[in-house]
Amino acid sequence: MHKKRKASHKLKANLKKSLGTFLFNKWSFQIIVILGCVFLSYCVFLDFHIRKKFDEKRWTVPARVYAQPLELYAGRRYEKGRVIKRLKSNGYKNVRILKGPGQFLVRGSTVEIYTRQFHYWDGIESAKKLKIKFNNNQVTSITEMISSQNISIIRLTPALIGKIFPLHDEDRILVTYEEIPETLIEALIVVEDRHYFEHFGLDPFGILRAIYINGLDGKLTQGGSTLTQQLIKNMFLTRERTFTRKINEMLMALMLEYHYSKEDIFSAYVNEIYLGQNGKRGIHGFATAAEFYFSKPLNELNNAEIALLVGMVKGASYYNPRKQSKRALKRRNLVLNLLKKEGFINKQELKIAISKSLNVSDKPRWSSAKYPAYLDLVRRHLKRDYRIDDLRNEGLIIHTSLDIDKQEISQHSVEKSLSKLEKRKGFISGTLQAALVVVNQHSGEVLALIGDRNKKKNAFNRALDAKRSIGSLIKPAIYMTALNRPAEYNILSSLDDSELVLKQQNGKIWKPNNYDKKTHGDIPLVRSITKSYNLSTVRLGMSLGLENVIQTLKNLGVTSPIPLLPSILLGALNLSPYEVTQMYQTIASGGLQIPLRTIRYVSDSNEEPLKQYDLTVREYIKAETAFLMQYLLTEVVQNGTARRLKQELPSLMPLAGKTGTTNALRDSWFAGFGDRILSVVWVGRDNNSSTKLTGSIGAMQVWIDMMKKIKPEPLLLIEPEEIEWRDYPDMSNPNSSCNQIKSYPFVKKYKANSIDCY
Amino acid sequence: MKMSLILVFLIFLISACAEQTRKSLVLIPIEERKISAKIENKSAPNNKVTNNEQSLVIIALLEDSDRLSRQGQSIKAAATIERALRIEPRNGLLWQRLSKVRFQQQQWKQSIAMAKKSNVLLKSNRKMKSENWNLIAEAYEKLGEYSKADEARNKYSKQD
Repeated sequence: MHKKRKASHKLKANLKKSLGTFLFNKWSFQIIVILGCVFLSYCVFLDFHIRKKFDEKRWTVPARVYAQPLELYAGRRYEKGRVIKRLKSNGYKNVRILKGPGQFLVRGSTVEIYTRQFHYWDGIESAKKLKIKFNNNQVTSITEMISSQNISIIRLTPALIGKIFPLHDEDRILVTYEEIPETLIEALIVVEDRHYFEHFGLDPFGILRAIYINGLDGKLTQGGSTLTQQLIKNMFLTRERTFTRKINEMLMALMLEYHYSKEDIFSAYVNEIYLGQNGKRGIHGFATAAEFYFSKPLNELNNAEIALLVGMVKGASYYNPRKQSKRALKRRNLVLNLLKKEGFINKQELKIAISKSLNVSDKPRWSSAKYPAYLDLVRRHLKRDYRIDDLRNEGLIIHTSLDIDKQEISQHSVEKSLSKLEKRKGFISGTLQAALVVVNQHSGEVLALIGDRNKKKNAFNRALDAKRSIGSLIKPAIYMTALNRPAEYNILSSLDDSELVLKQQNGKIWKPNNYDKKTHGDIPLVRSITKSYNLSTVRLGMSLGLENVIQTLKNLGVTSPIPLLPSILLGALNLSPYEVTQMYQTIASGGLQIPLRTIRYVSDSNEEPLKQYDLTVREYIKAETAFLMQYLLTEVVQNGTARRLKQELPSLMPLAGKTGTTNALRDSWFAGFGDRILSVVWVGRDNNSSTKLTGSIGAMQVWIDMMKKIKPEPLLLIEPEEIEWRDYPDMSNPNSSCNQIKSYPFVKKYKANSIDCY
Repeated sequence: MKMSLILVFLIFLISACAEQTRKSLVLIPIEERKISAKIENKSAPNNKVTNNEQSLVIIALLEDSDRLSRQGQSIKAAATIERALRIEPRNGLLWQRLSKVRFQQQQWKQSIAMAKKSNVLLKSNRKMKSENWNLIAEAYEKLGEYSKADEARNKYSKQD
């Protein structure tokens, strides 16, 4: 009985166990099925996510802004030393034998250059070996060395002056798989992923090797990540070291390999990998790194340079060659030895590469901080035609008219002259400010722009945004309004420079005065402007009608609102230096208003031209009126308020110019031009207090310092056919005798009425 | 071995989930960009460089411009003339060439202003000046400003 009970219990227990196993198996199966479905769904999600992201992936590439290329031709006045300076700043290397693009050598008065290929608006200028001969700071001949043919004109690769960066501050230059140098492919394979072209996204042997080596070292020194995994990590994942992230990385690597070719993934890696930091901007991809560390394109890197960049993949800041040169050198040589070991370079190549120093350029060639005011203007011009997203992300290539020589000379002149002026006037150093614009008056191209005496600052771009009273710079508009009526006025017309009292619209009395506080009675028009007399000018302006003067200002290119007040006749009109430049451009180009511009053309990231910014002209001012004004402005330099220009720059005469000073000497202005260069300078203080400087002492000093180096060509006065010259007593200078005869220009049809000698 | 099995399983799963097509990574699809500016190649004048008084560099650039014009690339042709003008801004022939290109581009006002500028610079070259007046007259006609066109024609006949 006892045995039976025992057997029965055993049976029950067995039954229970079987049932339990059955139940357990049933549940575990369901759990496995559920987990499998969850995992499957996750994989589907992940796969969808990665493909979507990859297909939509647009590497945001900043717009690149270039200065104008240096153009050389036989006969051009340009010093050899300046060519060499330009080549060096463009990353050209001084070598003993020209072997490839981006190199030059100097032999006596000759410079031999292996130029780089460059896409211009009108086509590709291919790389050439050129011999440029100089004599007395002038180019005498340019010869193509292989064919020995003379070349009429060449353009040297323009300098990269800035970039317009994506919002997340990534810097990137894209390359296709075909553009990746072979040594770079080999080095990445050898160092980062030996089985890249064989595995399917993961490298089990690599993982095992890493586990083994890490086990030996007792540290996590070796990573088993393939290039694909590294790319996934860079593009999609965080840098945290967790198990989940690793699993995700592996899954995504497999998916990526399944969908895309090895070449596609490799080029994505070359464009994506992080290789350093430029301030707040990440340096992504090898082409950007080549530019950042060596100032040259990726295809010009030698074995040692490639090895350095490949070595940096392991830790861009740890092996930063600018800060950790010894460490970086050691790592570079390790990579080079690996290349030799695998037979990608021979013993001789290894020896040459190892003997080289790191050869890293001092600092990046491009820097938005270098010409911030100019780049600010470029951005403003671009915003008229492009969306900000396109500028930041689409890799547009923007060619501007910035003339680096003139920009640097201008900046230097501003700094030097302001310090000198502060010393002379006993001001605290750094309290005077200046703005300056240099343009080619015939093309309207802005060649240089200064918005702050400190070249790195541009919080306030005074050249564009400081609207200040323009003082006597307004006067040409009044005289042009008069000269546009040749039946009534000519340059010897008599004007009344006697005391004047005006009642303004608000009932207030306005009593203008001359700067010398004197009156001068009847004077010829030419003297009124050369001496910048206020009384005669206001009288003239009032008789012409304020509306007509305002219309002339608009015809000259002023777009700011102009108040209908007599005080505008003495320059109580707030304009920026840039707007004043537009006004004087119209005069200097003979009456053709050419809207000022900075951009020559824009190309897309594949160098395909998108938009050309044509030379456009507006004809609002008669050529003869503009000519008479040009003549009068040369008289200002010869006999008037700007005559110090003649004393300081005698070899450059004739030049034309006009000084401007405002109440209490708050603003000091000068606008002047030669044959193909016009520059407007403003000197003042941000708090609008007195500078104690007139236009001829302050702004003109900056202008003179600048032009001593720029050496503008003298102004060529070419009169239109409506103009003829007639002899009259010299009335420009009050000290001249009436017996002295001088030729003055007149509009042909209109005879001057009897002209008295004053 | 286990690892390899897992990998094979994963690949199987992925392949079951995924689209079967292999796609290429497109770096930047240019055609998708929404940049409004486009280039239009219009027919251009077929000018020949005839003035032997020009400096060699100007002759070379004018030849380039002519070549581009012949290829129907008037925008590039104009850009090349502008390049020459940066070297010799007071060259009346260059302003005339640019005026002709603008005429071809139906920019009548531009053509008139540039031809006038050319006339100021071509002081004694009657032949070229008369060409300019003719161009100005035609451009005014296109603008419907017939009295100005007649005035220009009068000057054209005077030059002849």
